[in-house]
Amino acid sequence: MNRGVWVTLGTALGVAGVGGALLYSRRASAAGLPAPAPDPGPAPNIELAPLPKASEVAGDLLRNWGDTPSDLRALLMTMEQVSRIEGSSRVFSVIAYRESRFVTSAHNGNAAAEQDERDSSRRAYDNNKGRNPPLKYGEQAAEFGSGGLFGALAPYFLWTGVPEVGKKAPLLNAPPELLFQPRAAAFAAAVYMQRLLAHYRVDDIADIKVGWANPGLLGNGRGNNTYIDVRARFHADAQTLGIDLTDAATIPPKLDASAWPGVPAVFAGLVGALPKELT
Amino acid sequence: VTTDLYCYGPDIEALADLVGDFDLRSPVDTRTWYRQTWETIAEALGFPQQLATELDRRRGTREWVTATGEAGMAESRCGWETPLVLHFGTFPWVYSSRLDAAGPGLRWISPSFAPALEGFHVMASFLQPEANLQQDARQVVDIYRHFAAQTAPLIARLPAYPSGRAAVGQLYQRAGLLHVHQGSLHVAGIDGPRGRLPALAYNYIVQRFASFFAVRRATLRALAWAPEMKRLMANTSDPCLRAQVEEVARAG
Repeated sequence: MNRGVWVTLGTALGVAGVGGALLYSRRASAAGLPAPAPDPGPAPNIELAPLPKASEVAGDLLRNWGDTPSDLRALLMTMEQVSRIEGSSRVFSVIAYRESRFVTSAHNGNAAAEQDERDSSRRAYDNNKGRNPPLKYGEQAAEFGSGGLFGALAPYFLWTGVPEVGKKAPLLNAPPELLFQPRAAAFAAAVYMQRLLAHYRVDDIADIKVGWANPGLLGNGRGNNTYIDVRARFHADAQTLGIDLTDAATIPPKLDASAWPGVPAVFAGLVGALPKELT
Repeated sequence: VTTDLYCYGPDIEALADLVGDFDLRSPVDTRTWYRQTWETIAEALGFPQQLATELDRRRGTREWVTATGEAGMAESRCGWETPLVLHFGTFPWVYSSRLDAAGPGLRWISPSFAPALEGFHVMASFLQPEANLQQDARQVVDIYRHFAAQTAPLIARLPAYPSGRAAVGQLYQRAGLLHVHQGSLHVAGIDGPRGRLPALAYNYIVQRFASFFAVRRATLRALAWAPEMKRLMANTSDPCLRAQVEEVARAG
């Protein structure tokens, strides 16, 4: 495991659930299995813009952030502002705390004992590659496991945006290692957050984390033990981190994604442009 | 006449270079250096927006340089008092032998005193030429060298930053400081036999020592044209300062 064994596997599988349920719901009737993709060769070195600085964002980076690393707050606030989901930045912080402990290169799946995580990404890829646009680095994504700031499973990360823009989804030609880049991870997380808020019953802030773990828990699973456990962990994480989820000045009681500007705008605002060979 | 830091050792001159040089005769130069220094402090301690607002409000060069304060007493809940011993270079990472990612000095509370604020004032006072000159820099050199010797084996483990080929999340040596590529410096660190050295604390401490000597160097250079600097150094116990004053005097 990269960067320490403490990185929580927790809801990495859950991200798969979000991706799986949300990503494929509108593409379930797509065509059958495509022909095997040719070997894409070594992945190019991609260098996205550095983390945004505090001077580049207008939002409050001092109030109700708890122990959120101050050099990540501007990114989290940028996510909120670009996605137009007011109050989401602190929620993203609590999620990142659980998923990666704020280590951008957190990787679940690169250690011998993490076969289950690789199995998850393999299942995610094999079960869904037939109904989604091909991934240039699909096989690598299948073997990758999950990782990044928000603990995304690699295949779902690379398919981010497919339900919205189909074959124009921006990461289809990118290697899975891109999810270590915090701006790319932020893009995928913002899209997931919007989908949860737009398509599921989310009663309060903690329900977002439940949906992050498994959107099925927001439907038939609502109220079961897993649902309760995820909510309890989320509240405990917020308390440990020092973020007051009831501070209405920074986090509305319910988040609202109705002002979502669309996947292309969010990608442009968080990631910018990818190298030509990836587009 | 050459006024420089070599009396303290070539490593100290190199240390000061980490944070750049400035000329007190140039308001633009001075303002730029102090802005960058304070921005670095604010980034590390988490108040960059507040600093930006405050600096925009202040226009005079003199205001940028001024920061004063005195060490105080820490009160315990048992009612006894003890002097605060503040190594300015390590504030707010003081109070124990550990260097946590979040400086514990920022969390000091007292019913009748603001130790964090006072400590901050003391630390900042050494950015002011007057306070800087009151300090015998040999003590600072000793403390810095102790810190450098203790941390050097850990720092030596890190690769140099490979521009254009850096790995995401990897901690590197870069321009005398630590740099984590596309990641948070606040969660990066190096584990050693005496515990974890947080990257943020390391950078902050090195920069504070470097800033002290950068101010010292700029102030020494002002000896040649600012009479008040000679007066400030008149009673110094620092032999390096005395030597510089005498050399300037001989040169007329």
